[in-house]
Amino acid sequence: MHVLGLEGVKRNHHGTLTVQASGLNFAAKNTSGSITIASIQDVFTSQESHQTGGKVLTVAKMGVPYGGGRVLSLFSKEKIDSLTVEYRDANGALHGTIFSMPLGQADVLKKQLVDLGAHASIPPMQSRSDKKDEGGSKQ
Amino acid sequence: MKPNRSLLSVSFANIAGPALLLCAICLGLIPRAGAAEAAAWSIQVEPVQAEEGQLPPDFSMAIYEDLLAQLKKGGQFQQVYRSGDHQAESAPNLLTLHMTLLNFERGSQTERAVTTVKGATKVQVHLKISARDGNVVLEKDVQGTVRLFGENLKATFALAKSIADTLRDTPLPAPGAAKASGQ
Repeated sequence: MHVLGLEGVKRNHHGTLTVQASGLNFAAKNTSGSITIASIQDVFTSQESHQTGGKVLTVAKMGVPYGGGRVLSLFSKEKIDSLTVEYRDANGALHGTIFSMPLGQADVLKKQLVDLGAHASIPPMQSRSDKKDEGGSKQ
Repeated sequence: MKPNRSLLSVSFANIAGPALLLCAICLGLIPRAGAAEAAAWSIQVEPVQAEEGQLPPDFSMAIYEDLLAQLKKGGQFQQVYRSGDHQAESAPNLLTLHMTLLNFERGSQTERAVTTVKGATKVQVHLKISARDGNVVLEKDVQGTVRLFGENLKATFALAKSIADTLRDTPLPAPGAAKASGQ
């Protein structure tokens, strides 16, 4: 999922993120965006825990009596990866883009970007998911 | 006894004029004081300055991007430039917005959902806006918090909104006046 920052793509848009020779490509139903390898200044990965179910489940949990919704919150959480890409456009302007994805996929994408020549101040970590998934990842 | 018609029409005109003016200001049809001065300025936003490891890169970039979006949406400035944008070099009246991290507390969405009082995510920055000649136009500490609903990154949106609101409510000097006071 694209969280924010990609030119021409709305916030929180779901789509597919792939690494190609030209760079990082994000494709969704009616929109797409890309970042060239040469323009990338830095790539970061991080992990975040968040509540699943979105607004619908949040409202539903509020309606559960006797604090049952709070108990549900304990079980409706999941960990996700986030990939942050800093890049500069043709005018030298700094952009930042954040993508969130299932756990273990951000490091794979970062490694692929670095292998293609993208700059990263922190080297990518080797993870078990490297061997499983060599291609793009569906978010 | 019949009411005096001419007296009624005069009093209606007396009330209607100011009332319409007040409505127009409330609806934003007439710009508030300071808005005209701000429209003469362009602004360049620099990313948050923080010591290494104090602010995660995703939060730093989210603050930067959210703030750019808020400033563009507000329409307060002629142009909103990103950090390093070469086009800003030729902008006549340019303000530069610097942010320095004061405090960052990473909360937990689950903790917020379970307890409702704990797990808030807070970001506080020191805001400094200066003109090209180094004259400081505005300095203020601004905070963004997510206390109950939403992901941790929502705090960056709250911070960006607070900064944009602060800028909108602060009357900026006319570009010429800022230059004169800076010399």
